[in-house]
Amino acid sequence: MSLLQIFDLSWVAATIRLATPIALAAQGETLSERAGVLNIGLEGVMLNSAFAGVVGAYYSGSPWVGLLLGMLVGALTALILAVASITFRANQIVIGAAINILAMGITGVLFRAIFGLEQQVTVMSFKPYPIPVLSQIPVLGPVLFQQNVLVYLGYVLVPLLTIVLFRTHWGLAIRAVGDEPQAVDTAGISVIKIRYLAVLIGGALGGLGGVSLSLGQLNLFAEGMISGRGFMALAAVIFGRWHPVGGVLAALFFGGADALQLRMQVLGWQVPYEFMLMLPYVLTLLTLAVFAGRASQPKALGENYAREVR
Amino acid sequence: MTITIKAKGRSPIVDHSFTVLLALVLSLLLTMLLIVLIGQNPLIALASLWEGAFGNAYSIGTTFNKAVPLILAGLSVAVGVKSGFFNIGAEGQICVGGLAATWAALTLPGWLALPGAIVAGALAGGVWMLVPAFLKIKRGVSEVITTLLMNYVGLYLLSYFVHGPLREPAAAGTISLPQSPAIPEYARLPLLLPGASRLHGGIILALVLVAVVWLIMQRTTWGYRLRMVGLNPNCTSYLGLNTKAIILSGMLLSGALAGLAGASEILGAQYRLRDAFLPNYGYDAIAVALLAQSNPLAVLFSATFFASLRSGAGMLQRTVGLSSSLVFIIQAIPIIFIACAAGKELLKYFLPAKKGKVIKNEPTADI
Repeated sequence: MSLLQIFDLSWVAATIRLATPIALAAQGETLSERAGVLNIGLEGVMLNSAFAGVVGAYYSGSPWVGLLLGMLVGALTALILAVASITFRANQIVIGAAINILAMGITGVLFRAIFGLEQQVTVMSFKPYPIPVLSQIPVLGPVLFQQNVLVYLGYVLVPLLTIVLFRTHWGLAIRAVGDEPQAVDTAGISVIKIRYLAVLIGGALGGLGGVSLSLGQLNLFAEGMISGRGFMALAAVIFGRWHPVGGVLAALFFGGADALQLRMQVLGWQVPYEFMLMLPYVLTLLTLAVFAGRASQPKALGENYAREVR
Repeated sequence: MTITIKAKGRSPIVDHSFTVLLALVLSLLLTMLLIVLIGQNPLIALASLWEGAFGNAYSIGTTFNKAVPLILAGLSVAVGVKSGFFNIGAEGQICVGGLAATWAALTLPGWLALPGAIVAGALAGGVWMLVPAFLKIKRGVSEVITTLLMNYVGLYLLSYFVHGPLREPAAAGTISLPQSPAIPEYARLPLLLPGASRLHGGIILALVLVAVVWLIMQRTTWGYRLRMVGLNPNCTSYLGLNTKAIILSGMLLSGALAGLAGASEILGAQYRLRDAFLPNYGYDAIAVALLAQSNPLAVLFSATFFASLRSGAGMLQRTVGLSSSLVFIIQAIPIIFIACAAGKELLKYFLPAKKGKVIKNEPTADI
C-alpha cells in the first residue's frame, strides 16, 4: 500500500467535506471570541441549527429555507448566551455548558413532537454544484469546485471575515472590545452593542456550520448528531490562533486526520482509530504549550464587562 | 470595586438564598409553561418526575446512586472555583478515573482490589489534571480551554481501552460487546440495602468526602491558602508563599475528586467499563457547583437535585409519554437562571434596593 493510494484526491475531497462544518463554525466562534465572549455552547448552537435546517427543508421542500432557518436559530441560541452573559453578567462558561444541555433537550423533544418515533429524518439537501469554468481545472478543479453551495459560502466567508476583522473600523472595534473593553467604553463606543452583534453573528455562522452538516453532508437529522464537532471548532479557533484563515487551516487539518482515520478503518489497518480522533485535541494542547496561548488570545476573553468594575 | 446591589441590613446569605429561590421558581414556571406548550399537563408531568425520583425505596436508591458521581464531580468543580480556577474537565477525569479503577479492580488481588481501585481512580483523575496544571503554571494557558480539550482525549482513551485492551474476551464464535469484563464481587462497593434498592457504598464515600473537603477548605492551612489564591494570587505571592505550588495542589485535588466520581460509578453501580459511561456528568458538575455556590455542604443538596431530575426522566417518558430529553431542558433552565442571578444583575429586577441606596447614580443599569 503506497502513500499515494491513501493520500489521493478522494482523501482531499473527504478532508474538505469533513472540515466544512468545523471551519464554518470556527469562523463564528472566532468572531465571538475576538469580541471577548467565549461560546462553549457552540456544540448546542450547531445542534439546534442542524435540526432547524432539517425542519425548514422538510416543510418547505427547499434546503435554502432550511439554511435560513438554521442560521436564524443559531443566532437565537447564541442570544441566550448574549443576554445571560452580556446583560446579566452570568459566567460565560456556565451558560455555554447549559446551552449544550438545553440544545439536546430542545432538539430531542421537538424531534419527537414533529417526527414521532423516527430514528432519523431524511430531507432535500444541498447537492454538489460544479462551478462552470473552475471545476474544469485539472486535479484541483473537481476537488475544490465540485462541492455544495455551503462550501462555496465558506470560500467567500473566510476572506470576508478576515477583511472585516483586520481592515475595517468595525473589526477594530470588535478586537478592541475583546482586548480592552474599558478603552472602547471610554472612547464612547458601546461594548454591549458590539458584543451582542459579534455573539449573534457568531451564532448565525455556527448555525451555518450545523446546517452544513445536516443539509450539506449527512442529509438527515439524528439526535446528538454534532457529536463533538462544536468542541472541535473551539479547538480549531485556538489552533488557528484566533484568525479566520488559521481556523480554516486548523479545520482542514482536523478534517484530514478524520478522513485518514475513516480510510484506515475501511482498509482494515490495525492502528486504533481512537488515537486519530484524539489528534485534533492533542495537537491543540501542544500548540498551546509551544506558543503559550496568551500572545494571541483576546485579553478579555471570557470576562464579562461591567462599567463600574475597574 | 464591585458595586453590589445589596442594601444595608440584608446579609449576603439571605441575598443568596433569595437569589437561588428566585431562580428556581422562575425555572419551574418556565418549565411548566413549556410542558403546556407541548400539550401536556404540567402537574402530571412534574408528579411523575417526582414519582420517578423519590416514589419508592428503589427509586430513592437510584436517585442517590446518580447523586454520588455528581457530588464528587461537583466537589471537584467547587474546589476549583474556591481556589481560583475553572475545572471544566471533570468529564475527562471521570473517564480516566473509571478506566484506572476498572483496571485495578480486575488486576489487584482480593482485599487490595477495592481500596486499590478507589485510589487508582483518584490518582488517574489527578494525573489527568497534570497537563492543564503544567500549561497553566508554566505556560500561562487558561485551564478553561485545556481542561475542555482533555475531556475529548479522555473520552477517546476510554473508548480505545473499551474496544481494545480491556474488552471482554468473546466466547467462541461470537462477538463481544465493547465493554470490559465485570469486576469481581470482592472489588465492588457493597449494596447498602440489598433487596430494597441498588443504593451502594459510594454514597458513604461521597458523604465522607463532602466532610473532608469542607474541613480541608475551612479548617486547614492548605485550604486557607487555596482560598487565598482563589481570592487574589498576588496576595499569596507577597506573603512569600509558593503560589504555583498551591495552585498545583488545588488542581490535583480537584482532578482526584472527579476521578473518584468515575471510580465509584464503576465500583458501585455499573461494574463494567463502557464507552462514555457517565455522559455529561462532568458538565452537570459545573451546574452542581454553581447552584451550591461552591460550598461543599451545599453540593450535597444541589447534586441530589440534579440527580433526581436524571432519575425521574425515565418515569416521565414511561407514564406521560414525554421525551426523556425534556429533562435536559429542565436541567438547563435553572442553570441559566442561577448563573444570571449569580451575576448579580438578575436580582435587581426583582429586589429594588432599600431606601437610601440610590441605584440611578450607579452606572450599572445602562451598560
